[in-house]
Amino acid sequence: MGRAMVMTENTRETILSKLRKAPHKGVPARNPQPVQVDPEIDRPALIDLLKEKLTLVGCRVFEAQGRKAVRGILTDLFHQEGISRILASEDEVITSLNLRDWAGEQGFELKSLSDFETPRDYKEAVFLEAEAGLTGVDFAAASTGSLVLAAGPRQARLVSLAPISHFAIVPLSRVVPDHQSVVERIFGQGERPSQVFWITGPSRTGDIEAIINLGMHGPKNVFVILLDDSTG
Amino acid sequence: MKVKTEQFLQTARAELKNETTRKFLEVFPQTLGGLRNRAFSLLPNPREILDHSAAIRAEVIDRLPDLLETFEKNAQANGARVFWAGDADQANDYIIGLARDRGVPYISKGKSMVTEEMGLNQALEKAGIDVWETDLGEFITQLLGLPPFHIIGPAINVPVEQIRDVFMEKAGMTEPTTDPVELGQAARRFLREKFHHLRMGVTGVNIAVAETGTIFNVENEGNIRYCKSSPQIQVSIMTLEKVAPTMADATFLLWSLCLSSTGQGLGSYVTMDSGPRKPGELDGPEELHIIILDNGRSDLYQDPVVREALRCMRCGACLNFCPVYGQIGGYPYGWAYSGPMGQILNPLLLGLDITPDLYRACTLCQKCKTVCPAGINHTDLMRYYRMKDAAGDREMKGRGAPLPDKALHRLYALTADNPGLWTVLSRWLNLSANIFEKDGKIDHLPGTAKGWSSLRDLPPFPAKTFHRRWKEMERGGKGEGSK
Repeated sequence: MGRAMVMTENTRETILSKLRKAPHKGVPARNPQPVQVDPEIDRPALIDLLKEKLTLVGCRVFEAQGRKAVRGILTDLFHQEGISRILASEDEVITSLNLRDWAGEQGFELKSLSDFETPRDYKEAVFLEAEAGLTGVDFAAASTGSLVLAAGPRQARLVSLAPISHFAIVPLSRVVPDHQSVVERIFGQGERPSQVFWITGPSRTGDIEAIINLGMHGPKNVFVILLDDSTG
Repeated sequence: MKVKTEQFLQTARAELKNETTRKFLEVFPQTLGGLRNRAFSLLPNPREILDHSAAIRAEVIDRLPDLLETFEKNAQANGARVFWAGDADQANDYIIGLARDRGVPYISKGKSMVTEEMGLNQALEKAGIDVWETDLGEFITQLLGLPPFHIIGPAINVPVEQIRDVFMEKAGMTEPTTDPVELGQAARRFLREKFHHLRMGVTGVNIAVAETGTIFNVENEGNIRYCKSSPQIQVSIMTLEKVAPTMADATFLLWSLCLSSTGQGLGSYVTMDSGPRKPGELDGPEELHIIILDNGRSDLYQDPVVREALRCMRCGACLNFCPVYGQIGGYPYGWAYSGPMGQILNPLLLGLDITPDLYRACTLCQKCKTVCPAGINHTDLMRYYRMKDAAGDREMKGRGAPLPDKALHRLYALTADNPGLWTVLSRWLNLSANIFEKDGKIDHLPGTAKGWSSLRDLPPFPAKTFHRRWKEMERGGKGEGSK
């Protein structure tokens, strides 16, 4: 790609110098950014808003008092949905749930990211085997019912995408008012994650005759379990 | 993609008679527009949101070179490779070179208008590289060789029987069906295998953040997420105006983009990439290539009026409210961009000479301007293009007004400047028109006025003009306007 490198250097200079030599009039200072959610909103109202928006975008919302209750809800839902093969991420929320023993007791086949020797094995599992992907979230934005996950060694991207059902555990302490609160926290300091992905409801399309079809490429079902972690 | 802007009238006429087109145009744009209106109406401050995103876009256009340099620096610091492409060929060649060099068996694409502009699919096919569109609508249009009908629903007008047949033929569907959901499932199964073994994914870019070197994509299906998560190589192409100053600005623009586009607070999936996968990550690309495409934009940037067209974020809101698009649909615009968005972008990127019907097929109703989250004044721009075309502007490939038009305008200027001549000529014209009066109205006129009068009825002209009556009244006459 040596020739391409030379070419791009010249092209870059040409483009930038043309843009610079054009007249620039300057722009007036902007007004403060309009907010999505009243900054004075209290916690209970914020959680209610999140529940309302999650439901509106097509997620099924459950509430759990503590981690044991999360496991109970998962057991019920997996049985109900006929799910036995689960692929889980290894973020703090998931690891804090101690799911290994639980899965063994309940007879679920649970795989975690570190169970895979190679990315190839992982892809086989996530595309062909997993009936559900299980993840925590970094944040949930109440304003639009969006789950926000940062990619990393413990949070792979395809876990919440390739299986037909996605189960997301949202600790209430990670609920924030709006989009700006999310990006301030993720991009405000430190190293930037390779990818931050936002999930707002199931995968959908209306591309054929405008008929809404859920689960087009990603999950058809998004289950959100709100974990009240205030009592530790 | 092939430019067919010169066939505007021809295609529009055909589309006006196409029953499938009619069926969808009666419902689809209004529905999307309604969702947009409803979403904004539920917010306490809709005007503030539109004004603020317009202000960000205005700032972006003014600060463009600085923002691009900052973006490049930060994207490179994140580990992305940035390639500047002067035109579509350079961008296409880069992608072809990369695909050959890495020996990828095929490429999957997320929906991207810029690759339509570049004609990437055609270039890849010519180079013998398989490419799969993965957005359902784009997948269908690719298999059928159709242009996009609407930016949000590229294949919304395609009859299910046609989709069934092409899926049976080319997309491995075994059981014939015309059920939209089952057709979607067939595409899911077919493309899933492509995603699984994908080695190179190509996407567009909705917003590029200068402050952090991050690129945003928004979608509803998840196909773009696959194109950015599964392969070893990710190529994302942005036209140079897609940059935004800060993460806060970009996130705000994303919100107003989604609200304007489909009335969603956010599309189902938003991905924000800052560089390739990091050590220890199981998925995500090992190489992230970002192509910054000019394709004529730095030239048109020289004109401060025209430059404002670059504010466009491709939300598609203007299409849904346009009375012209609402009748003819997306095909007549003849290129990557349709509706008012296409009427302002296509003439700039292709030249005024081959797009004259685009900037003339406008009633100047200004509805597009009122819904635009980028603050574009479409109608002013279209008037400007008409003026530049009539003036024969060389930069914009204006054609110059035809001789009869020029002669007519000369005559008008001469007459309008000379009250005596004006009185005589207008009196003559009025009396001549009255010859065609029938049953108290003039419903047709000959010659140059034929087209104009074919849709309009005039009352007959009165014998005396207003000025004459006024003068007679001043002299004490009765000044009645009877014939």
